[in-house]
Amino acid sequence: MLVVILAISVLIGRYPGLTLLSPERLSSDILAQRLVLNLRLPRLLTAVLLGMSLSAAGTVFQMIFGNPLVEPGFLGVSQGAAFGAAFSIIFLGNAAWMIQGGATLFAFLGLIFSYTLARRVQFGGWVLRLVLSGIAISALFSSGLGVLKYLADPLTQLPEITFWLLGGLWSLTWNSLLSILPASIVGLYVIYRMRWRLNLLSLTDETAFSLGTSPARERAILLVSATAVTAAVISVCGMVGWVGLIVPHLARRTFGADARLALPGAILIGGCFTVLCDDLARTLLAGEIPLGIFTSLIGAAIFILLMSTNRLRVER
Amino acid sequence: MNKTILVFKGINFSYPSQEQDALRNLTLEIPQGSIVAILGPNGAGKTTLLHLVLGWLKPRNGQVLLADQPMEAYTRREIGQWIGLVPQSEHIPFDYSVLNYVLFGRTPYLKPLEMPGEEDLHIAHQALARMELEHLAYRSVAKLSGGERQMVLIARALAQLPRLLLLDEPTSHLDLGNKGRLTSLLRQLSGDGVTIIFTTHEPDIAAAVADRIVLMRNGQILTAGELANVFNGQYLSECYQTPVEVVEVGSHRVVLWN
Repeated sequence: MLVVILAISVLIGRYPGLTLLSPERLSSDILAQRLVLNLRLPRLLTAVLLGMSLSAAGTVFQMIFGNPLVEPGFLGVSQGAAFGAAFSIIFLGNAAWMIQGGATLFAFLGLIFSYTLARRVQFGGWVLRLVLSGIAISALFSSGLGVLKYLADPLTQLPEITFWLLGGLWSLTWNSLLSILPASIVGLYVIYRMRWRLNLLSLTDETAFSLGTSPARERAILLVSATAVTAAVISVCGMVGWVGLIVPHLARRTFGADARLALPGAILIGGCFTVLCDDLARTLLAGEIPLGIFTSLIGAAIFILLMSTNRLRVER
Repeated sequence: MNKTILVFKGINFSYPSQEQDALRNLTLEIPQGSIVAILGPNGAGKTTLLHLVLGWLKPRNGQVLLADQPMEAYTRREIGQWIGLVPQSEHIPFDYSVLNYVLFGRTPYLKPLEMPGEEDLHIAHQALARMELEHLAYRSVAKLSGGERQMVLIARALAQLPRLLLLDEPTSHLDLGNKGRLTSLLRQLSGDGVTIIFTTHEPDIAAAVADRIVLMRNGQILTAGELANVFNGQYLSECYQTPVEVVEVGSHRVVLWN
């Protein structure tokens, strides 16, 4: 399915007009070949990686917190990345690698701050403390982001920040894809191999412990892996919302709750979802529409559908 | 007399948020294959005691010995293979199937990145069959009644093939039929050499199935011993601070309380 979508997506676009490139044209037109090889292919592969990473991370976060309403940006990760990117745009020049580095660094700082704060809280269970700490740290980064937007040059820096916050794949190259590939692949591999343990970590700590796991250590490994893949993809793609929230739901609806199937299912659905959204983003209008707008629109519509048909189960 | 399987030596334990000790100077020996009922009013420290056996809680001082070894000598997987826990209730966040849920009990036998195999699946089915739950195997655990869920939790613990089974108020959601099935299962397991420790607020159940009784109050053991020596009106009245009488009806002990 994913391969078919990729094959069609690589041929669809706005060159020379809104059309599907024929194989004959692709073999004879050098410009079309360059377009496909240098622009569409890295962009599509990054879209696949983006969807896979956010969906895998979303599944991890939802299962670890035993709550189907959390997403990869939880624990200050997304807001941290947004703050880091804006900070780099304003103070460190506008180089792509600077924005990427700033977003990654602050995404991890978001996780570390949330984790440290949760350890200092004296009441409630571990999950509740993490959730509250994540909300507080996200709010801090949000207000920091507000200050940065206020300070930004409205003609140059503010549009750049706004576009980054909306998310998109228009500026991607092979280099940007290669720069995030190692972290994404390693993180996805760790999450995939630990998918049975994910089931157990969705239960109470006491139960997971009684079943022979080390909940704190295994949760930390999975949290770091999920944050690494999230930080890697949003550092080059910007804030692409809703994928990590909605795709795990769709995967559980399709493949069942057991993460042995639900996780690979989410990875596949996520890859297809972002590629299809990106196809719309780059073909619907003559100008590029930020990808985050489509993922939010479609994601929210699916979410409303799930809620209104009582297919969303939340107990705590 | 059976070999002693579990020893508590001068245990003191307090929760971080509480000044008063939850368990004080607790010393107890449990023989292998026995069925031990822990009775006591709310807040007496019954569940805390089970969590200490599991190694989930660590005593401030004193020692818990499992088969003559301190708990610290066992790895997490070894403890999971030794001890099965049936909690009072459990939050089930996703729609796992009953079979899946019971299969979780096989985790202590798996390496950290290993998936359960055919043998694990076979053992999970056997555990379901033993609890007469096979007809529910593909139903969602989250959609079962409280009593059915409790039976599934017991099946999961059985899939661990434990040598020591801990049950925290196992009959609290069960109807009379399931209570009867559970008590006969506990006797069978005890006959197979499994040591069973359970907490309960139902002295009748304790009298029906246990061969040893531990009465707790305010984090201390009031008295502990064989059923015939300990399960009487005097001790139970002292334990619950309310007048209690034990009368024998046929072969059953019935508890009357005011």
